[in-house]
Order: sequence, then structure tokens, then C-alpha cells
Amino acid sequence: MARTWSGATSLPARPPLATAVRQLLLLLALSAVLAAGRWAVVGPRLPLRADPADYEVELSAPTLEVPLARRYYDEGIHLFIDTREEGPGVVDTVPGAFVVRPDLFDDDLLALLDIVSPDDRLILFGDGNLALANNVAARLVQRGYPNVELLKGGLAAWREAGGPVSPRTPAVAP
Amino acid sequence: MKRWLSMRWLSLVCRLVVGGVFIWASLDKLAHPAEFAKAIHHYRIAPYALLHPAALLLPMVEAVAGVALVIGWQRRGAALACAGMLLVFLVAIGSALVRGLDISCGCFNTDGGHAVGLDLFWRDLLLLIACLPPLLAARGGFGLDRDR
Repeated sequence: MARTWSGATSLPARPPLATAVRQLLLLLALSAVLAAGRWAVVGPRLPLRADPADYEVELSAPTLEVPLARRYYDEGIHLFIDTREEGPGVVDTVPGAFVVRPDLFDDDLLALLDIVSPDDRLILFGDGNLALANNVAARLVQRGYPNVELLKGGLAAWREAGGPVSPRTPAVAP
Repeated sequence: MKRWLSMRWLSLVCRLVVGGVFIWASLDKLAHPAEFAKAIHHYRIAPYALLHPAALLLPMVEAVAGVALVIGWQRRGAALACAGMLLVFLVAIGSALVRGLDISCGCFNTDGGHAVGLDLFWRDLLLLIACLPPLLAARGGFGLDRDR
């Protein structure tokens, strides 16, 4: 018990961490209620249990580290393929890269038929993970382009490693 | 150290910075829970049973804790929540770095975004340190709490 200036006694102050834990539980409960409410009201609802089939991606091509990709870029033997779909953040790319997007795969590939041959060595890249590039790689291999590699880390890693970029021009296909 | 922690302005600045970062980080995840679930999965540390509940709950905790820090309501609890989340993020980033995973972090943008790297580790560590003043200071600076 602490004594105040007026002589009255007061309860000792609660330790900061005890207060923090009590407040934390309150905030977690509030967050859980809000998250549950949002999940119930706002669609489309994400199922509460994840289906592993939705998440497992087997790579269809070998991966390539950025330093080696930069060496290939300097040698000029390989062709770079940008697999990112159009979006607000998609403004630059590897200079000279062609665009082959998963959602417009056939149109984009058709536009490149005279430029890219099955013998060419292709380096595919996406945003920061391999999902997009892997999707395009699987379909390119199916269409007879066996020399496909996936750039690890995508354009983000390329940019971070100081790789050159240039503005991405609109793709040939709509 | 104690003198620093007693500075109201320091607590206020840390609250605004950490709270602002957490609010910002929650927005895209709240809008795209399915993409955020994929971002969590890329770390390969969460079992499938926890993947979607975490993708639904974590952004809301980020948003609530961020707003609470900014407005100075339940600031110790909010700072503890942010510190706890940052610890989890640090473990996730560290384990991804150790395992050599090549993934985007899913921090602010569920559609690609920043690749996991040491810079992210240091950034989250700085944010974790910034949680200490609002967590431990006797007075939290301007806000709704009575101990401002």
C-alpha cells in the first residue's frame, strides 16, 4: 500500500508487464471478434482449412541464381522472359525481356513465334517467388521449349543485385 | 535507460512509427487473405491447419494493435502485441535465410513484393526495439490512455 500526499492510502501500481498482458488479451479478443465478423460477412470466404493441393507446386524447370543470370545476360546468349501479369507495380523489367503471361500464354507465345525458337535458352522470371514463372515454364516445356530456367527471386532479386532494368513496354498481345 | 524510457515524446514517436507500419502492413493482407495465406506458406513453417486461420487473424491483430498504438489506447498491450508479432516475423525470416528459401516476404504486399533478406531482418529488429518505450514507459505520450 502506498501513501499519498493527503494521507490516504492507494493500491500499489500494477507492474507494466502485467498491465501489458491484460491489455494484450483484450486486444487479441477484439481482433478475433473482428476477424470472425469480417470472415462471416465479407466474401469470398477463405475456407478455414487449407487444402494442401492448392499450395504444393512442383517446379517444372531448374532454378538459376541471380549472379549466373547476370553473367548470361552480359554474354547475350539467353533470352529473358517476363511472366508477370499487368498490374500497377509492373513498370520495369530486364532490358530486352519478352513478356509471356500465364493468363495470356497462347497469345503472348504466338507473338514470339518468329523470335523465340525451341533451341533458345530461356530464363523466366516473375515477381519475387517462383509461382508465375513456374506456371509458364511448365507450359513452355510442353510446347517444345526444353531449355528453360527459373530466375530465383525474380525481378526483385535481380534489381536488388544491381541488375539493369528498363521500362516494360506493353506486351504484344492484348 | 530508465530516463530514456520515461520520455513521453520518445514513446509517442515510437508508437506512431510502429503503429503506422503495422496499419500499413495490414491493409493489403486484409484485402487479400488468400494471397497472404500463400505468402505464409512460402515460409514452410506453418502447418496447413493453421494456414488460413493465421491468414485471417494476423492482419486483423496487426490492424487493431497498430490503431491502438497510434491513438494511445491500451498502448502497453498493443506494444506487446506488435513486439510478439515482430519476434515471430524475425524467427520466420531468420529460418528462411538459414534454409536459403527464395521467397517474397509478404510484409506489405501479398502480390510479390520484397524478397526475404537480411535487410528485412534488421528492419524488424529495429521495429522490435521501437516497441520498448511504449511497452515500458511510465507515461505513453498523448493518447486515450489515462497514464499519458
